Amino acid sequence: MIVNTSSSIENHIAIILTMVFIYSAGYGQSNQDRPITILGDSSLTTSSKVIITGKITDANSLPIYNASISVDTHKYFDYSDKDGRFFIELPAGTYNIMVRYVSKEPISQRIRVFSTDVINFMLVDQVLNLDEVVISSRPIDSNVKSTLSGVSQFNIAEIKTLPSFMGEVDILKTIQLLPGVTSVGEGSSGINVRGGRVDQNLILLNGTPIFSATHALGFIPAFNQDVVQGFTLYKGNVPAYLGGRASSVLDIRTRAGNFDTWEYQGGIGLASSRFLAEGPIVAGKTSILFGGRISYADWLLKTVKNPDVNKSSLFFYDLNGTVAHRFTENSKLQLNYYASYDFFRFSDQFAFDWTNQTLNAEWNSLTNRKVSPTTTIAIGNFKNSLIDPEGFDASELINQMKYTQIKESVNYLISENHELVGGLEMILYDANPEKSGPYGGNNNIKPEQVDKNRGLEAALFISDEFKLNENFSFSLGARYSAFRHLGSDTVFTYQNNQPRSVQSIQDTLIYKNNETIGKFGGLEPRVSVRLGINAQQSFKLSYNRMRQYINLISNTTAPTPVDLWQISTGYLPPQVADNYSIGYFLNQKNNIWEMSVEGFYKQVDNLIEYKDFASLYLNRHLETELLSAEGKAYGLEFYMRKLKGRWNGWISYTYSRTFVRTISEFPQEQINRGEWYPANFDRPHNANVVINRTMRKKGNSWSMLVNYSSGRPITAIESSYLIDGVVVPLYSDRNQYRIPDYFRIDLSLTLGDVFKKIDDSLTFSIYNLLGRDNAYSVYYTRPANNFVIPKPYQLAILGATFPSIVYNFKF
Amino acid sequence: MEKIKKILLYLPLLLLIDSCLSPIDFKVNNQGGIVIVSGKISTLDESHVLSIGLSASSNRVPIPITNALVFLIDDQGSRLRCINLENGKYQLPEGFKAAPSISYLLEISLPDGRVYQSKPEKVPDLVGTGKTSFTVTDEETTDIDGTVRKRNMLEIYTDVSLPKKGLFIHWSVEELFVLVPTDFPDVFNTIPPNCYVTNLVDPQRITLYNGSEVNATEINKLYLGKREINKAFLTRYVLTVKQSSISNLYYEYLRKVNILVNQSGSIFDTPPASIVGNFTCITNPSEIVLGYFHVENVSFDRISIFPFDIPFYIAPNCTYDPTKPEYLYDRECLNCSSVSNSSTIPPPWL
Repeated sequence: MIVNTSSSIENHIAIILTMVFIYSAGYGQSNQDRPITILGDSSLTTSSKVIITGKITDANSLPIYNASISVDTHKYFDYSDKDGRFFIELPAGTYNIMVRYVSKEPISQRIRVFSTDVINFMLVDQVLNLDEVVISSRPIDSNVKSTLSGVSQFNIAEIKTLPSFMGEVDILKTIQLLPGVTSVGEGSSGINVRGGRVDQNLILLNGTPIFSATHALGFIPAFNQDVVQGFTLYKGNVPAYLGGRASSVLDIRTRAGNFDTWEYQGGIGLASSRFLAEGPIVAGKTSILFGGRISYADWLLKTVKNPDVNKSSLFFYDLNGTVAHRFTENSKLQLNYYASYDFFRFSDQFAFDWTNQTLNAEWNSLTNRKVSPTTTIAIGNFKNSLIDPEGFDASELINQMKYTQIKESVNYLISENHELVGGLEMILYDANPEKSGPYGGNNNIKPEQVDKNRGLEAALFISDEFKLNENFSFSLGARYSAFRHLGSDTVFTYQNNQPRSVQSIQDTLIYKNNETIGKFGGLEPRVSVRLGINAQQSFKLSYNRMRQYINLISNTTAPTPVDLWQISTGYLPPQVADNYSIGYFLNQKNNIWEMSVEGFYKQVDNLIEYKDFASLYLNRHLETELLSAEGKAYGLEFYMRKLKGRWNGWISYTYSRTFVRTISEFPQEQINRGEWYPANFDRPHNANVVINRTMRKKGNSWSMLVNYSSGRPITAIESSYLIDGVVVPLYSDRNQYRIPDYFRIDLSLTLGDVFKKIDDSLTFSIYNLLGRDNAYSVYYTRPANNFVIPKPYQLAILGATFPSIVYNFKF
Repeated sequence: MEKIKKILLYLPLLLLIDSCLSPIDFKVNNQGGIVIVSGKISTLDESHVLSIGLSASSNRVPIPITNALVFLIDDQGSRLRCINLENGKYQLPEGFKAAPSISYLLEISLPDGRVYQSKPEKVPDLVGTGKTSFTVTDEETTDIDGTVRKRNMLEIYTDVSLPKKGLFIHWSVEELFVLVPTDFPDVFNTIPPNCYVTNLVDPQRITLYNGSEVNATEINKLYLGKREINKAFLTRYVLTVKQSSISNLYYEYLRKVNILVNQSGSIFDTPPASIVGNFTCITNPSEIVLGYFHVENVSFDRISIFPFDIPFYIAPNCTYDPTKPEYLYDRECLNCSSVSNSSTIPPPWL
């Protein structure tokens, strides 16, 4: 659909006619057959260049980011920005203009341009052409042409057919199929990007940070696939308008409701089901969307032989609500609410629950053709509790982090090849006191409370993207971030020249409410340069500095639901990461094939490590349990992807290493004597193959995933001894050994049109097709005939083929 | 909140939806050679034995260190030399027992000149009392090979009474059972002596009480452990529950041991590490020494369980059967010493 915003009534009529024509005849016709859209005033003829600008939106009037606008086959070219706007400068004349975006019907149109004018495009969902399945959500040649490297963008439709555990479309698992992204293992609740820790990834939902991204201990994603529109992972070059974490940004966007008609969709699976309704409150002006998902996985637990497991319970739900209102064509306000809840009970031994809530308002506007501000205001709340329901010491431990975010970002389009983005962002972290107390009727536990910290993070940012010519472009950005640790708080001081411990406390300082206790900050340069060799090849270099003022305090290999979030203090200075990358990018066969080789190096200062057997809960002097460390990571990533055709998919291979080293002169504050040692998630080799095959019948396809990776490091038992009748294992240095390598094949088959008159599909998934006993961990137990030395066993969590089926519908 | 933390150890079990265990050949490169000292003294009138050894390479128990000079030193100035037994064991003189409020330390001199010393530990003044009880239950367990077994179990409890708040308590359970060997006919009509077997019950279960976290001084039915009901219950089975008042530092040491013995290697484990005890090498302070020497104030409660206390019949296995050749009898029916921790001499209190 094409909509011209020119005031000319004639032009409107022409465009409507054009729209009807394009839809009835398709876009593949010859130029001579097509009508011409007139832009500008035909009475104003000029020999100099004119500008055509406009906005690309979807059927819900949401802006489409990174749609490609090509005039006369790349003679003049632009991508839409995050507000959907584009800007092309060209001489007056007659052209063919092509607008493309993944999963949308492309628009091809002839235009005759007399003077500067505006033309808007509305892209509707694509009815997949069997011969032309595009699996990329980016401009088709962005691998070579985009200035930024290490950016992966997906539309949710692209991953819906991939095999998944329990049939749940999983953003985080999909990301792990990309080069440079790993996790510590099945069921872990985070990702590790280019040697970064789990808490070094900023996960944004509509621009607002989320503190927990999974359900069910990491096996099931926390985001409803029907609500998510798409997501972008910035692993190499993070634009200056994003920040706050040291490694990467995962930007997840949800859909606004349909402004014109009511629609319903959902899915019924083995472990959970979901439903979504959307439609207009005021047609064309205001829309509402409501989505929900709920689990019923207890029946699965009851099939397990282990009596403790089959007496356990698992439950989760998540809710999404969105109200969007268009004040004018160029001004829109969107309110988003997200809530997730998880509950686990393990037999009668313990239970825990956690909730995640965010409410944000985003106001997008286009004040003129060049300037578009976006304002975001949000509040969030992450709360977890751990319950021990039995015994004389039945108790409950509660932690909570609340945060408030304000962000103003302004895009300024200087010219077709030059864009500035600037703004500021503030986020106030306010952690509730950590509380423990008796649970149920028990009153044996002393109620206890440890105050947690407050802090204000603020950042000013500016980013300049400039394309000098076809072969040289760069993105220069700067983000100045600052952080204040705020009172009220109690701060201990420690004696110098001694290991930090409770015994070395020298003084206690009391700070009043909102009093500044500590200040940190610094510049975060972001640089990316593209050197094109020709239209099919380019080199890209980038350097990023990123600062992180909030840390996940987690002394386990993978995060648990009850880990603490802790802001930076004088004893926990902000993490500072320097990320370098260089890459060679190649497209072949009219951009059907894209390839890349990227190398990266990362250096992180002020990493947190933990003393052996650190006690992290209800600890008034948490800093005595923490160690200062530094980290480094390096690697080489290979990526080859076929974007089009019935057969499509990608192959990725990454060789990477990640190491940590504690920094202290005191042996008590060292791990492995202060030498470098592999991080918990250091898995040198990681290879993935993703194959999609679209079949002739509409909606039918199958996909296959193959995943291989090196085993993760572990600390192994080398010997044992007896203390007071107890066999005490003697462990090696930290992370000196590895569990066996990991290999898995998954398969999925999607069948469309299950029932007539309903837009539906049935997806069968088989997780671990070979039923391979992949080592989740190495487990030590003592054989009955040997009273001292424990023997190693390999524990496989999903050591069998795991089928699932999901029915999806839409009406 | 240590219990809260401990329950995280169960998290991996939640993932056992379709799990399986299989043995693997996991090669380690242990050099061994770390000095390990273990021992305790208590307020009880019992033998106090310490052990000294060197950590071994993989698949071997520690190598005993013999011919060391071991002294117990108290804050009253007395210095008591331990008697060198075999296999790295050193025993304090008979009749010694620790006195409340006195601090003790251990000093060890090895034949190669290295000297080690423990940090002083003070015997707590108070310990309180406990009253032992038990129940008989059925338990289904899943073996490593996936076989589900049903077993009859004895579960042991204690009702605890503490004299004040703030104590650190550790409980241990000892068992003694009597095996009656097969009385084969002989010309002298000799009756073989009974075999007395002493063990710790469920030794890998470490039950601790942290008085700085818990208000209660009366605890009802505190679970201490379990053991399978088998032929150990054919005659008299004696349970001794020891309630030990320990130091804050030893409590902390046991807390760490508890973390280690519950490691499952999962992604939810706390990173394991060797536990540094309370010994230092005087001659080389940078040398790592493992183990702990601690002192404790102990009270105990003892109960006997007879066959009529068990609600089912246990068939004896050592009764003489003239039709059964001797080689078909269980080893313990023939030779008491074939059973670990056994003696034909009954304990004095029996």
